[in-house]
Amino acid sequence: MRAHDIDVAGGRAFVLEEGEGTPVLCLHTAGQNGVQWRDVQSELAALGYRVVVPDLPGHGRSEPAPHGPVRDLGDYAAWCEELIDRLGMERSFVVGCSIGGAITLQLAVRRGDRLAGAVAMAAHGGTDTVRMLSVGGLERELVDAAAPSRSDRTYHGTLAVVGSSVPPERAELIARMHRREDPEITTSDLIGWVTHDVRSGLPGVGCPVHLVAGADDLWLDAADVRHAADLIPDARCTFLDGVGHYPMEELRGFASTLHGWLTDLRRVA
Amino acid sequence: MGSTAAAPPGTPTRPAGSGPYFEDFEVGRTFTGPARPLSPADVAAFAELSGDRHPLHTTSGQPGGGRPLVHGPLGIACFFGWLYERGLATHVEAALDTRWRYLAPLHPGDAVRYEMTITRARRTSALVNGVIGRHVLVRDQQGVIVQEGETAALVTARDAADDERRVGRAFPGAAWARRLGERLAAATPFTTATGTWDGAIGLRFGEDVVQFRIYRGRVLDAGARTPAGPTFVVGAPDITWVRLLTGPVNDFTKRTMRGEFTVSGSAYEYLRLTGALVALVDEARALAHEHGEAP
Repeated sequence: MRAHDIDVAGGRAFVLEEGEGTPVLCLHTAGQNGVQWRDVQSELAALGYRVVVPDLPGHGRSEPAPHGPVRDLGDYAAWCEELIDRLGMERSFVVGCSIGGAITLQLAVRRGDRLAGAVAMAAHGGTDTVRMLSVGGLERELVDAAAPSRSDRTYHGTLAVVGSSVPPERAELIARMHRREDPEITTSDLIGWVTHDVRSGLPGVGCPVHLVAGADDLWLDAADVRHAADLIPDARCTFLDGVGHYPMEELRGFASTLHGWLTDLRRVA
Repeated sequence: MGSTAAAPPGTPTRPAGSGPYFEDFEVGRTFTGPARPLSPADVAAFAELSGDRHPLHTTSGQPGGGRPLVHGPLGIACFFGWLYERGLATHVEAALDTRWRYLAPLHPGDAVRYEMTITRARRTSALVNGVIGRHVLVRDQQGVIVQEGETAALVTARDAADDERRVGRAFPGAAWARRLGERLAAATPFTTATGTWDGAIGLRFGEDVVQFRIYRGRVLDAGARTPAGPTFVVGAPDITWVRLLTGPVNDFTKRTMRGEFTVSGSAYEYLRLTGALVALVDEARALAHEHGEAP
């Protein structure tokens, strides 16, 4: 495993890299960091991939973005593009979850012709039909004095969206680790989620795409995911029974599942 | 209603004398049965009987040429017929109220299926009978929920006895509130989470609020009223509480995320007590299962 501490978009970025072979960029969820991929990283590397796991700006060990917390997922996509170029990740796969999935779709729209493929989990490229979050509510949440019991809410909120097939002790570990967020960063990420929309670009995506969603994911409307899959030429679409919002943390042996999806995308391309 | 509204073939007609008493309607228990067809003749007979011969329900159909609609109240009437046919009304002394919502259209030729869940059971002070709250889901042949309602009835008790054993599910009554208050006072997750708090938690079941007055982790009072009123009230229809408190897991957070609960009063204090409310629900669930099946 190699750690990079490199400048990306004017800030120091922490990036873990493991393995040789086809590059795969792995993107984490709102407010979290690359540690969400810790189990997947080594197993996927052993399957013949160069696995690159960044902490997005303001997350984990990466410095905050120079102009404050990011509220536009397009900014994260541009940051990822710079990272991909800096690390020479030619014909890379991108896989991400939640805002990471939305950034994955943004990258597929922006530079799909230079990607090997994209796996977007818990994302659908646009505004939620059933709105559980609002910019106004999130703006209130950004005022620390108005956001009590934040850690408890993240903990219980995470438990509520982990899938029914996940053993309780694993769900507990996921929820405990999610407490480690910076609420300002998470909330800004969620404003990015609520306001992003790349659906108009989906029909022109230049790489094969696989959309993945957990059947137990309360944050997502399955119809939104199916709609996005319909917009993207030849998109794959998978719903995982018993899985919630965090497939890479919830599913044992997720690396081999992902390997299967990437192999399939390579065939399509 | 004419003979055209008879029960589907094979439905047993219960002899008088058998059938459940007040004590048999445990809160959380669900009753289902076979589908009940609503034939064009049923709809025509109901139009004659009620006098509601509106063209919506007859051959001329809806404006714009849609299919005729079954009278919404026929869904209610057939529910009471279903209760009788299933032998569930044997010891009913009186119907007390009915609140019903028509959520999707029914057309002649459709068939409905009833799912009834007991949401409340309160013995009267005379002890010889009690009031049963019932939630009713009505689904069509595709499984779509077309009607939903609540209806209460006075039901004869088997024995004129006290209900100590059933207090765990006697929400939101005074005895239940007292018992939950005792449990909360002894539950470390709750007392820790409220250890710096001064206020009253309100829980609203349908239209009824029960309050728990908390001061620094101590439960000072539990009941329908507190002198200064609740700091916040978290509320839901009876059926939501029943599913939460008698169901397999504490999924309170999921239900709040789905918008099944509403909050009035101080939203800040409600959020502040996130962990305390999960602990409260844990205790209420344990109380509901004290004498019943394991959760």
